[in-house]
Amino acid sequence: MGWQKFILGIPIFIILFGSSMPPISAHAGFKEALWIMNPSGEIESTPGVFVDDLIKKVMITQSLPGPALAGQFPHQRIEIIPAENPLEEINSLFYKRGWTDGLPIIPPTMGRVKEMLKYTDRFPNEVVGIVEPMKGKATVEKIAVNAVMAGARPEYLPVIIAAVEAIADPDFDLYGVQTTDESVTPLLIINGPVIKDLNINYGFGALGPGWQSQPNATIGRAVRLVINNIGGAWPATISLSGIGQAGKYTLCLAENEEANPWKPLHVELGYDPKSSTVTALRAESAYNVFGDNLVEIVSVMGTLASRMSAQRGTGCVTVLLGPYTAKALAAKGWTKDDVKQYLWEHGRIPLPTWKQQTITRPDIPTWAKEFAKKGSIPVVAKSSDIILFVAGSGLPISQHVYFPTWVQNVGPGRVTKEIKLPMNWKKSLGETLSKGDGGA
Amino acid sequence: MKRSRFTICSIVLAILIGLSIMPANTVIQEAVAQGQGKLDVLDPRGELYAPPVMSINPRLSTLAGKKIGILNNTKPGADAFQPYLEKALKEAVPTVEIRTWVISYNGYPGKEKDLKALADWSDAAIGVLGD
Amino acid sequence: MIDAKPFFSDSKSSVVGVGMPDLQIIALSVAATGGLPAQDLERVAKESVKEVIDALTKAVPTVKVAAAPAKPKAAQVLSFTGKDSTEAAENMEKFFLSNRYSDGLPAVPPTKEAVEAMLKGTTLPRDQVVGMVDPRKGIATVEKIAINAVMAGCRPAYMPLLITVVQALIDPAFDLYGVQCTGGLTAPLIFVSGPIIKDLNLNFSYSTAGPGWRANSTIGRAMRLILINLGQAWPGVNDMKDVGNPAKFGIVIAENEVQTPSGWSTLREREGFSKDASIVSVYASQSFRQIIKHSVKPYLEQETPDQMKTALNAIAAQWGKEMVFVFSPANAEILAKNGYTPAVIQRELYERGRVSRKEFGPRPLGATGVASGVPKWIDDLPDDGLVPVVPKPEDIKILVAGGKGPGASFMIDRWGFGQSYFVSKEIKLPPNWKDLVTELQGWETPIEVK
Repeated sequence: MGWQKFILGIPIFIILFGSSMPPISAHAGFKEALWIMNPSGEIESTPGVFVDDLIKKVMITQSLPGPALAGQFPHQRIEIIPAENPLEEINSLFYKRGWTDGLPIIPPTMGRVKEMLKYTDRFPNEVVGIVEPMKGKATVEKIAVNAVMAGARPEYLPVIIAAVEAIADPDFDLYGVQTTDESVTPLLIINGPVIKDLNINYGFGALGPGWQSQPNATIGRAVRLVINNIGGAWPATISLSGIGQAGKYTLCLAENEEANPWKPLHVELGYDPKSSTVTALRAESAYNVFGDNLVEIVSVMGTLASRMSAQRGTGCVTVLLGPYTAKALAAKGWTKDDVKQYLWEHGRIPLPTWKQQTITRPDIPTWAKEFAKKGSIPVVAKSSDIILFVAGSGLPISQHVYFPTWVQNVGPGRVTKEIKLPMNWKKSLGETLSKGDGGA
Repeated sequence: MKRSRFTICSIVLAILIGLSIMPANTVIQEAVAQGQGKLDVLDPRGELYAPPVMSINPRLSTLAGKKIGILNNTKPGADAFQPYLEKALKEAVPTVEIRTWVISYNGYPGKEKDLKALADWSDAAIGVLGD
Repeated sequence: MIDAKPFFSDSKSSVVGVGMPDLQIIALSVAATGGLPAQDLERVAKESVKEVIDALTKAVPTVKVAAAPAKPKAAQVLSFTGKDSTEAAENMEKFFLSNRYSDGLPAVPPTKEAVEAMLKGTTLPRDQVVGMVDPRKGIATVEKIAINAVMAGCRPAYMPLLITVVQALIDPAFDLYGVQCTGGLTAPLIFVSGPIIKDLNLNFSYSTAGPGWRANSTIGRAMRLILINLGQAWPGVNDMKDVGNPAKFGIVIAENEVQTPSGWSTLREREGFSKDASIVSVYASQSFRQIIKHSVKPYLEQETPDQMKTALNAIAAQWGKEMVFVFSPANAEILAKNGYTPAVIQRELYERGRVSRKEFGPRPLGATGVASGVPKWIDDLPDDGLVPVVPKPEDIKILVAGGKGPGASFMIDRWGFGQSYFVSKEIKLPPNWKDLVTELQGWETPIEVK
């Protein structure tokens, strides 16, 4: 009798546990059904219309080249995509839709976006900003989607949100930045305790690729994807910058606050040292300058590179000073203001060059005209419009970088935003760090 | 009677259900093995090339009275340091004879000739390589 | 050998690769000697002299180095697991990051299948050795190039171009060792000229040096991954570039031949190749210096030569190499209307881009100048004599690239510390080329400009 009960148990067992097995669609070529979130910006004034739709119209009317499947996607928040090889297929699909920067992205599944959203206390559909030029809505969720695509880790989200706030601020004039024919991109400088929390690189390789620059590269890239997908600044279609620049992939680093003999940038700008900030600047192509004094920086400042900033309006140029030189100057008694004053006084465009290069424009700022009368024109109106920060290792081969700026008659071109961390920041970070390095 | 029929029905049912679920089980295991949860990639890192080893020459018993050839690679850091190195060596071993060759490591037409001259003249060589 | 302290790891990591595993290396106690005051240099020299003497006189145990294998090994398999494919891929990323395989951005997993597909882009056998990549002389087999190409996101049709890029980088004239390890903020750039641009739909128009176009982005990135994984230069360890350079991610600039003025030769023709050929050129770039915006003539006369002069650090020591100029189509059109051809531009800039002998270097130039190949006639010039910034007009490399305009033109200056030349190589295409590029259709609309 006992064995009959046992036999009876078999179908019951199978019925009870068989239903918990995942659905399988095909035997050969197993397909995962991925729930993918849409990274593209919806336009605030016209719900249901995405920036891609407007761009597609421009592509057609002006016969401009672009991605093959522009505008061809389900205009909804989530799309279910069955894929045998998810990484490859979704990459191809997103590239053809114009949603990538040309490099591989991580498919933004619901699961990944959910993980990312743990690092903010803001609601997913809260609007962080409206992104020019096509005015797409950057909600917290959309930012998270693009952040996942960029390869950013979830804990980078607060920094990315602050960066998007900064570039979406009218003072930044993202519209101008993205539609000019000059090659300009946001430079993101990070300050504060978040640098150590997230291991943001401020030393070797901070401006370039490498394993130590993963936060730098992915945070900058996330912002670029937001500009592309939510702002709709597709290269060659909307963004007609002549040759572009390398910084458009990503241009993000932290200040080397320890090696800075003066106050860190955010403290100089009036923020509490214990707060963390992102500073966004309009940066043209980086000039790499060498020298254990300021002479070379000054000579580069006086060239055509800076003509833009002196000719049209407002803006800030940026100087990345190597720690060795910074310390040497401080040891001689120079303050940061002394350095900026020196650069401002000596980095001048000579009058003959100015006259030669300046096209007669109605919008030459008054300050520039005044200096022209005196015979030499500074690159910015006042020395405090030179943003100076310290980055690099302590290597006594002094390398500096000068970032000229692009200007308009709108805003200072420097926008700083505080990074708002979620309440569970320390706890969540601790859990993430203990997950380890993944083995082979 | 009723009971045994019930038993037979349940056995048949069990077998039928089991048969329908079993292939699915195998697929899941295959899927775990091939697609889900396991990723095999090829190592992108290159094998290092180890050229035939040129072992260093036997050491000198003393530097007294010996000729030391210095190889300066033309970079600023080398120029700065070299005179002091020479001075310190001369102070430590007054009978040592020092001569310098400045050889750019790339694009310099006389490179091989000068390296040979250094090697022929010297008993020992020191490279002072700046950047 | 004597190194300043931070460079000790750099040298130590290179000695096996040059066949001198037991070379005695001494690290000074300072981070650099350049710029130190005399008493410090004296102190450091005194400190180190005993070590120097010991290194030359004390016995050194022999270092055993495994004999080089007759044939390079096939790539090994790295296995990652997780509860699903997502987690397994994440574990792969974590491994790449913590073991220095990564450039910081997500990589496409180089599975066996993906690498097989990539290898279809070339008919060369997978174990063929293209060369050794400095600084650590990683062996670049066709297979290893393909693995890194997969990680970068390349298509198989990019392989012939990529293999040629590797050949150019490892040409001794490029001095890859120097470019990889230097403290100067340099980034290798790739230029492409020829019919392959159309075949691969490389972007030669708006944003050619920026993101958005897969061919440009992924080929550049594959170069960077090859430099990391085969060359094995890591920031701070043996790549001493400090903050680095954003262009290190990998920039590919394609010549805008369609909008090059008629009557102007192409880059490849000036490099000595046939107009029907396709070439890649590699260049150790430093900065993109804007030289022209609108009206052109005044810039060529004054601004550009000024920038040429300021572009060299320690001029005499770095003399002798090229400079690259990228003109926007709009600027090129104005130049052409005013009678400028590439040859005329080269001559103009060669004549005007001059520094005084006094500025150029100390008198006599001494060993340093001679070693850099500075000819005697330059050394002999009077103080106010004018030294050209490049040895000959042909050393001014020109191409038209970017969107129509108005746009801006750039002088891309060169790595200031080293001896790296602009190296061009012809791309050899496999017999099935037409089939390979068919696969590329349908990704983007072709770039058609008039």
